[in-house]
Amino acid sequence: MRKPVEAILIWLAVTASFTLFGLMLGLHAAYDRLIESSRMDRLDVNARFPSASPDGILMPIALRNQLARIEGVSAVGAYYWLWGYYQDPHMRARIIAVDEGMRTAWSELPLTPAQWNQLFATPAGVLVSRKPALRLGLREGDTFPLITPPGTRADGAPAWEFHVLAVVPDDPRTGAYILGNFSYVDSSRPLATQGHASGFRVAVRDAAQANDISVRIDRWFANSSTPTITIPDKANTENSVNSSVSVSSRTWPVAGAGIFMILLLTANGIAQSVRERTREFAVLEALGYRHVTLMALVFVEAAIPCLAGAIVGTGLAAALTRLPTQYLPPDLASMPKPTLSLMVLAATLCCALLLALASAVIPMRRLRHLSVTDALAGR
Amino acid sequence: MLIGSVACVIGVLLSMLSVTAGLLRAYRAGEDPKMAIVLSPSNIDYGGNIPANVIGTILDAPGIAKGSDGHPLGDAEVVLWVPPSQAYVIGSPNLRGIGAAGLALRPKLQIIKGRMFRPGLAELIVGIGAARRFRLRVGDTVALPTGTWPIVGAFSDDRSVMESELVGDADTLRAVGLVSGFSSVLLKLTRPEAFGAFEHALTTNPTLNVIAERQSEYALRTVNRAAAFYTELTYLVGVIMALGALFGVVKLTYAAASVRTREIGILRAIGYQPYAVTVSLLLETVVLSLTGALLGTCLAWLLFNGKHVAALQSVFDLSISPQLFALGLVWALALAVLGALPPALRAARLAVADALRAI
Repeated sequence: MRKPVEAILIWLAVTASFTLFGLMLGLHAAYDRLIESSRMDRLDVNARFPSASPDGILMPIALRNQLARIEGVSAVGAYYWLWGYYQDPHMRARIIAVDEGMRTAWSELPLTPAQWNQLFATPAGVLVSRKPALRLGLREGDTFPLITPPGTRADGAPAWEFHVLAVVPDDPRTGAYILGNFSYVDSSRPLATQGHASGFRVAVRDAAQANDISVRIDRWFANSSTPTITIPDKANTENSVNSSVSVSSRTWPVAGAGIFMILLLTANGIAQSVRERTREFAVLEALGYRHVTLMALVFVEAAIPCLAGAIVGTGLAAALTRLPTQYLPPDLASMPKPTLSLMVLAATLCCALLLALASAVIPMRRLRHLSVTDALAGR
Repeated sequence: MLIGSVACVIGVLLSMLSVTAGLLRAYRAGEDPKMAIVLSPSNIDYGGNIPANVIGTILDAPGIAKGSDGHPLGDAEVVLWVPPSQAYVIGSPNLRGIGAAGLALRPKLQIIKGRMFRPGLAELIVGIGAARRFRLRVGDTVALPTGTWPIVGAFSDDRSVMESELVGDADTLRAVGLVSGFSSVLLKLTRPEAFGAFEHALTTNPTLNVIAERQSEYALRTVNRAAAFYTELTYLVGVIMALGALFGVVKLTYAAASVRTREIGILRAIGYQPYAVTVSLLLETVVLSLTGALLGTCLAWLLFNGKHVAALQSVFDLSISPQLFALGLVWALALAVLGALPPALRAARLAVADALRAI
């Protein structure tokens, strides 16, 4: 293009659109990865009906042994959610108190055997993953008093005094967690609620049997005091992704609209540029340049801002995904981070080339039918 | 080109915001400024955290309208989630238990199939949204700990969020033992201004631990909380797209001014002031941009308005509301003015002799 200001403006517009395109593709990939990384060989077992208890839905811990006896089950872990706050009521925190069975049932957690051993050997110890450690300002060795609602502890004390055993990596799939010791938390609760869990995680030997085992578990407890509802982890994740406002289903249309918008601009820019230089192209042709060479020239002219915009835009999108969560609106920070993999970059570059081709196709057709004499005469 | 670019930005923005607008419309259906809701400190219409023994005290508060039977127009209600009898992934709706005044407070609720549930019996009616989303029909049953409850009717309620729910008798539902108290008390005040005295009476009563809210404010708060992340994402997308379109508008206006340099020179030579040139270029861009906004809005309206969606346990229709339409126009206007101003000012500053020499 002859006018640098206009060329820069087109490039900036293309860059903005490819930033959006990269973010949308990355977000789509992140949702896909969230579902794909969920385990089909693990089941979540919860109480089927809500409970009138102020503690919410609780299940007798005795179910653990019965679950372990069901055919196809390889491990059962119990958990209890302990909700409270740290220092300030706005600094909410949740400890997931787990039992020994979670070593196998929640084996994807990035913990070493020594860290698991340490957790179960230290009654009031907690393992805090990086995100909550950063949010709450906790470090290894700190005391972590968690204030809970009245009646949560048997001794009536308002706070649980935990000790941070280690700051551990976040769960690659679900992110933040604070792990506590089930037996300690359970034995500190009022007698009436002792021996209860919030739910169970069940590992199965054969992922293909997961649905059947889910049905078997629910049938087994159908007439018990605590009927269950069991679901494979993967189905649960799919359900969560699809039951909220579906962002994942909107990423493609938004990305498409962004690209279409830029197609209009670049096509207009290239057409204008070719129109303005018709005489120059005629001179080149008169000098012996072939149609194909001239068309390649136009295509390259369209491809340069598109490819440059795609590369810089994807880079900007990658930089945006690396923004520390405290700089993002709190609700946006809770979404899965867009995954800008090589596949996303490759898709973006392919799209940029297609965009350049689509933008240049009409000007290239004009050049193909260019009459050298008319163009040189300014007709 | 400018029309197309702006249409893309406004179309995407409005189609994404139609989710929040639709949800808000569902929560605000049949809105009456006299309606108020009392909630437990948990601040949500769910569970059973309002003890049954304080309902009488709440209904004795000043400012509550009286029904034709002379009783306060207030209804203590229960909301809870019941799991599906079949596959978990199909999901199931919330179940709302309403009392004697529940129907009087919802005059637009209509039975469209079957019949109304009978108080004291384990029967349910299903909202048309819930029936569609969760594949529930009249004659189906819902499993609760004490047995199965048949669905005896289907209802509509002016496309309100209640159409996403199963509804039964509150007292019979509480007798099942899933909840001990109530989730909320819905009531009608004598006049909208009575809310202040009503709220004061509840919050200063030491025997009560509840929150009173106008129903309209509750709707707005609930929708904002439920769809906050989506709204933030929508505006992020909108801003990035608008930025791209803004560069495009600047480029197109520069190009438009540059091909008309000589005409601008002639206009200046025959006495037009520089501001007239600026205004004419601005106006041209504004008109094109607003046309783009109209096109984008029309496309979004045709593709999305009224489309049934299910999200956040609610079934509702996407809505391109008049407020969204106005928002689209404001964005388009801002894009046009911000994008066209630099080239328009530049064109106005051109020396007349230079402009006339331009090819």
